Amino acid sequence: MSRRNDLWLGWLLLFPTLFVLGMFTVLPALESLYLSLFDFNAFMTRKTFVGLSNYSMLLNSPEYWQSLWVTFYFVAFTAIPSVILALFVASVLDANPFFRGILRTVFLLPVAVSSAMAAMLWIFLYNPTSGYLNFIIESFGFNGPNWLGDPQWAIPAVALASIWKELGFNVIFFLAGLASVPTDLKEAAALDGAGPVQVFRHVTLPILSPTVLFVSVISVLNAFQSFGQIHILTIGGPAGATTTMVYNLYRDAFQNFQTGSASAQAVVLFIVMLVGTSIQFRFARSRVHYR
Amino acid sequence: MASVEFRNVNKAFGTNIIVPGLNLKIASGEFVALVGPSGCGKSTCLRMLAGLEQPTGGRIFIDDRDVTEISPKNRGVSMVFQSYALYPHMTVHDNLAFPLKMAKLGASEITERINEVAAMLDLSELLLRKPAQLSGGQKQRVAMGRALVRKPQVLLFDEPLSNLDAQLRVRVRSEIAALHERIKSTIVYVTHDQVEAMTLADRIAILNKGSLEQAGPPLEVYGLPRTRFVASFIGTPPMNFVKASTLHGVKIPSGTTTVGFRPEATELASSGELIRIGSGKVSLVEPLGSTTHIHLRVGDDSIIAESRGTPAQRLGDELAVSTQASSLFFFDANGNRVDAGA
Ligand SMILES: Nc1ncnc2c1ncn2[C@@H]1O[C@H](COP(=O)(O)OP(=O)(O)OP(=O)(O)O)[C@@H](O)[C@H]1O
Ligand SMILES: [Mg+2]
Repeated sequence: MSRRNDLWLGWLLLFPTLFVLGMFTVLPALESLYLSLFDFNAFMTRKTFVGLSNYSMLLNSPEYWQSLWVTFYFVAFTAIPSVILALFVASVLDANPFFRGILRTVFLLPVAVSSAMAAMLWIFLYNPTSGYLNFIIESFGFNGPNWLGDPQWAIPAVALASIWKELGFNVIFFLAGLASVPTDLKEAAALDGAGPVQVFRHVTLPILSPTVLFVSVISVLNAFQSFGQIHILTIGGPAGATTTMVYNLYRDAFQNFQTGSASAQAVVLFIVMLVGTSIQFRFARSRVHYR
Repeated sequence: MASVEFRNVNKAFGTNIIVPGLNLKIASGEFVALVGPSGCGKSTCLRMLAGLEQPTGGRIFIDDRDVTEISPKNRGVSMVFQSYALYPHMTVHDNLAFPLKMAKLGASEITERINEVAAMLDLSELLLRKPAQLSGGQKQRVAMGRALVRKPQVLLFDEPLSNLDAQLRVRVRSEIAALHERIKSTIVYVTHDQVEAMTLADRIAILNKGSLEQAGPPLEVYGLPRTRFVASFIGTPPMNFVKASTLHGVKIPSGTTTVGFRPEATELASSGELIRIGSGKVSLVEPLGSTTHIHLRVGDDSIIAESRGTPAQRLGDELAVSTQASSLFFFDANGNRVDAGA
């Protein structure tokens, strides 16, 4: 086959992927960028070019800044514990093959449940008067908080529900990663005088580090984009306490019909996530060991 | 340096009995090669000594200290793995430093020990490289270095040369011999390469299905095999066996069912002084340069004869097979060797 034919075949094989990516990812993104430069009337029948004023309005809006902080707060409360917890759970399961089969399924179950159902479940659990969570807390003689109604507790409460939902997904990745850590390396370390914790810290974790990076990036991106739980559990409240950037965007786009501003928010969200991810990669550069 | 003793050690994985009961004493400073066919439990025995595997029963002693329940790191043993098991994310230097850091040695002592080992194993140039940047032979030396820095009482090797090519194997073999000469620590060395076992070991222990068939100096297990299994396992090509009833003109001890003789003692001719085994057709000729292996079918038995140089025999030739009376080994129905005088 000639070189020319190879080239044609290459493009042909790439075409479906490029087409889907182009139609559903690149074009809409460019469209958002374009729309963010306009102002629309309420019925979206007329648009006027306004330059960067949608962006400057965002930067001058205290509510928008608050949604940015709420987002960081939520991401930190969701992604960090879920990665650490998943790593812990996976390590324990990896060391106990007997439980691994059953518990792997148990941890994966919430992932398979639809977000709406999961959120409903947590609404029942969190109910301040009849919820099971406060029932337990009160049985110890404390007063349970008004989980979803108290601005102080709303983020941790939504975060907890998200962690519960996502944990199994991360556990599966860590279990796969742990299974690929060669047994003889752990044995060599044990012979070299390392205890179980040192084996984990000096051998298992470094070898697992690409998986840790991957799971961290995915968890952070997921947390940034969380919508379902917030929408059902708190509708962004109380008093905007759980109005994240995504939730704010949703409201402006589909309830307030401020298409221009919402488009600008989408662009800002994209930039924030891009920066967040590159910070993670940068942090990882000297710490992740690819084989 | 320390002595080692397996006292009635047995090991089962589930209902699968791998080692039925091993008794073996290894003297301080001795180099013992553990040999046997694949799956006979060599690695399992070594791992039990290292503490990586718990015996189902019996005790293991290092220097008269019962270490059966003691964790690997407190046994004073190091191991060179077949896969080398170098830490891929650490440089050669850090690989060597790891056991010393775990032992909480001071920085200056760590440097000193690493330099010592690096000089001994010619690793000084490689200290800043990662394992992925090393050749097989270099990895092997780093693995040995990491096992040595801790100055272990007992050094364990599990087929350390099996991933090297033939030439390198010869070189590293002589390095290991020189090393043992120098550090004089007790070494237990698992291999299924006979040449390694014969050339390196003070004593060879032959395992069959987890049982010790014989343990003795290389020339003793070759010259006076205790069982038919040892006779067939030690020596390449393996010993020839024929039924005792096919042999005439030689005094066969009572109880003998099988008679063996080594390929190198096999003559492809007949004469008055030789014991005639029979005659057969040549089925395969393997020229190896300095010697040639000639395979024949004599009745139901296949016989290998080793001749010097490149002899004239061709495929399909019908030849007489005989050997010296003094080269015969006699075995009873249980596979035990019977003395010629008995
Ligand atoms: N963890 C284990 N679980 C179950 N069976 C095992 C385990 N480890 C080893 N075995 C079995 O024990 C037997 C002996 O294994 P071992 O690795 O000791 O053999 P070996 O003599 O070292 O063989 P080789 O020369 O092939 O390395 C084998 O039949 C093996 O299948
Ligand atoms: Mg083995």
